[in-house]
Amino acid sequence: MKSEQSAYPSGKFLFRVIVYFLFILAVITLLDRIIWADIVDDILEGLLCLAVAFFVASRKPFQRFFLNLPRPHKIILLVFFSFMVIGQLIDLPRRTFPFISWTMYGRAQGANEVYSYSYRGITQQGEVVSVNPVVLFPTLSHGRMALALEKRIDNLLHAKEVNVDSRMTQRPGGVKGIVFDFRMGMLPKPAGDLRRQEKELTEFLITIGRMYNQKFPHSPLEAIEVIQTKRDIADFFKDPQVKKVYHAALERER
Amino acid sequence: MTILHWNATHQTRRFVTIWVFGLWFFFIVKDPLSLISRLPVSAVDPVGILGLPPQSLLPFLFNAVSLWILKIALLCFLGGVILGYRPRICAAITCILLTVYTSLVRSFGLVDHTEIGLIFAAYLLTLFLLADGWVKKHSQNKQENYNPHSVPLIAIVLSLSFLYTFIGSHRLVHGGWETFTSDTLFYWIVQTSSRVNLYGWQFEGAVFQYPVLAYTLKIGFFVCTIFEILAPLALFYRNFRYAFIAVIAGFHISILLFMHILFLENMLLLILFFDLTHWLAPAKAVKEDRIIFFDGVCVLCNGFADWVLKNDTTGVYKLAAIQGETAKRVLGEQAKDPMEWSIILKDETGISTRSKAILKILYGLGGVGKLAAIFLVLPAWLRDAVYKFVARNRYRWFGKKDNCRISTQKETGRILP
Repeated sequence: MKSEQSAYPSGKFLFRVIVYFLFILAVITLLDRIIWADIVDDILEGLLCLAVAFFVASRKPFQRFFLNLPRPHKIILLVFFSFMVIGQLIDLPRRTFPFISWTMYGRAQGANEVYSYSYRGITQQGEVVSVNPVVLFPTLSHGRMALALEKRIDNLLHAKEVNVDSRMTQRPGGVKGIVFDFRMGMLPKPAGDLRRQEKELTEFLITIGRMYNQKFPHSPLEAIEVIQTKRDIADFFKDPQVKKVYHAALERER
Repeated sequence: MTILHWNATHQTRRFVTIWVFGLWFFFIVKDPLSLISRLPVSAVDPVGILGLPPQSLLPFLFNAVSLWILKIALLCFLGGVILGYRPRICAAITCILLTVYTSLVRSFGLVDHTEIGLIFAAYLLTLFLLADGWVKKHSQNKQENYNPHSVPLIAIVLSLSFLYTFIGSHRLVHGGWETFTSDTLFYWIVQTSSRVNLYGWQFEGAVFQYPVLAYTLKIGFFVCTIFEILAPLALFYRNFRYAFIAVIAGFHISILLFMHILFLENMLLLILFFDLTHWLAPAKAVKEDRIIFFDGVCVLCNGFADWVLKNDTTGVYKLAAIQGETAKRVLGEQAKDPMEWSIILKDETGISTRSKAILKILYGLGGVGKLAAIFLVLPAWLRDAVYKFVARNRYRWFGKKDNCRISTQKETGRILP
């Protein structure tokens, strides 16, 4: 590779980097205001990430690399990085996918009790069998289906009716209306009333049961049940508490 | 100090392209995608770009026929990228289809993080490929002062390392010190391990049985967080890079053992944190010529010779027909029956024949060919059985020329008499 000279001195480059970072933080602040998110924590997190990015930008090899890029390449890098940071900080993965937030194992857990759910089927002969939804639908492994089902079950068990915020019921006019539409598009849709949640969960479980019947036609299920296991991490080796929390009959849908 | 992948070559870029898109090909082949069409449409909460079309179109997107079309189209275009057929078009369409695919499989529940690093790698390889084409077209008179092969690789490592920075920063800011000092780690271990266990082992109890293990995991969790935040330094400091790889690999192995979670895609992308150019470099020049002897009248062998000439950009090998003077001088008389002939490689280590010759030639060319060395672990009798089967049928399957190959003016010096 030929020797190259920076387009301009390091100080000027770093000043432009700081301006770019401030622009990103301003965008985050604006978006957080629109979607009613916690601005302070997002700004702190953004500052930490951008501090690391600033360190990268201050390295001479990186400046040599970046400043000699053609304009399209610079634009791609800047836009891509911006999307990554904004997606991380506004934390609406369903809307910003694939530029999602990486928040796993990110919050302290104070509870000592751990709840988990498993699924069992009752065959037409009265036998109880274990049902593994992930094995039946391998595409939805990696917690895609498991956590979705858990959330639905948890909402129902704790009678969580996630209703529409009253601020979101009346659309104002003018520019505020555009902001309102943007907010409605970005925020997660409400789970709805409990009857609807129950109907959707039943449909989901029945589909899992039917998939099981197709895979094991010699011992078809007539019902599928959700079992909740509660374990105390302060006394891990104590027997966990197990109870049935939901029942869905397959034959009802035939 | 230099930046990782600064001296990347075309071979390095090609290897990374095949690695990334090859992994996608592997994951999609084994994914029974059409099964999700059986799930109720009420369970769908569209993700990403799938949220743009009207909701009434959801049943058409999520039916078995559409899913099969998506899968087959993906495999075709991924194959095109891997084989280098119309790379820009195939890569661009592949990225669009991958975005649809990854959005689709997350529309039934959790928006998980698997494959995100891999899709970023695909995006960056494609975007810079398109950008290079644009620059080539619009900057004909201006000499560009950058290494086009290093750009996508550096961008991918930057994006992967910043993903780790995001995780660590979020944990430190939102979770705080309590995340590391409380029993939060054990809560997650119990919670995730009590979900469906696809691996059969159960080591989570050991965390509660052995306090030393528990403390080690807690300390390791904090150390891992610091390395995650500082991940982009791996681009500049070699010692930090190796320490980072060791810590992150240890982290992934720990969560596999104790939480039954495998981030296979991220682990496979850790290969990009190594200086691949050094590994993939073709064989260095030596005093003695390396000569490949091939059947000059065989269409298959001539095709192989042409392929070597095209891909041997540094002149590692010379070629010569078995029927020629060089072969008589170097190898002596050959068997009268052409079915006894094989590809022969003469290099600084001696004479190699049959499958070993082929594998050594591929290895010496560097780049993706270095992976050919994997097949050397197979027993020679097995490799040679395949070789002999093809060799015995080569004339019938591929044809035979009337005359032995004569080098053209362009090939003089590369193809010996």
